[in-house]
Amino acid sequence: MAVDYKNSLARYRKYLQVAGKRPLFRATLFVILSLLLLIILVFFALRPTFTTIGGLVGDIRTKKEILARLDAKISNMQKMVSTYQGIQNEIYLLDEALPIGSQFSVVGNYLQSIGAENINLSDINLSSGTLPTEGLSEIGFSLSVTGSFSQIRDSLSKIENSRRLMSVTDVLISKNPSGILNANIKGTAYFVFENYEP
Amino acid sequence: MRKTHSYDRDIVALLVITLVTLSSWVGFEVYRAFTNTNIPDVSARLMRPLDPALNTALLSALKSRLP
Repeated sequence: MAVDYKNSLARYRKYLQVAGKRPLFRATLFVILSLLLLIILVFFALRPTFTTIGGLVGDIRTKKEILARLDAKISNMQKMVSTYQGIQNEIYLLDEALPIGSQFSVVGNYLQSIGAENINLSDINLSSGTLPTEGLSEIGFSLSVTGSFSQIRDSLSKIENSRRLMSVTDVLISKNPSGILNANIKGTAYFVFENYEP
Repeated sequence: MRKTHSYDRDIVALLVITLVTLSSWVGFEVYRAFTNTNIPDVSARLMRPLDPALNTALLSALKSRLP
């Protein structure tokens, strides 16, 4: 059956003319009202609801993260407590190595004890310099040792191997006219203040 | 008649654009509410991870040093 294109085209053209004359306001009234309703709904109902939901979900997520980290920390602390109980009797070693407070006398006594072994020790100077009021701090000291080379070497070794943390920063060895060696040793001893946080 | 036609089409376009803008605004606001939580700050010291491993070998080393 042959299609009557001409007739169909004419009818379509007629339909377009009628549709074009129809007021669009009437045709799109429901669309406009729907859009207006949707806008009002989004602004007054959906926005506060979704904002609240989003905020609460965010709060829950953050709280879960904090909880997980704190749980991990508690678990680690429990492990530390059991380890600490095993070494509790040896904790004093840490206090001796890095005491709270300068404890000048301990350093002085130790340096004096070095001189008790057949070497001539003189001029022990302890200087705090400008002490900070918090954190890890240090005391500078200097001493003069007279003796043989091996005695001086032993003295340096004792300073470096003392339980109280000390380091030798400067050594100046000279020979006097009588052939005896004289060493000027400078070093640093360390301590912490109570509010120290690594 | 043609004027009305154009006017109504503009209203629809305006409403659609308004709806899109409003939807974007709501989306960004929800995202902001999701990311900006109202939880009071937990101190960094409290949240700092703790290493449970204690260096017990250090105590042995200290014991061997001169008292």
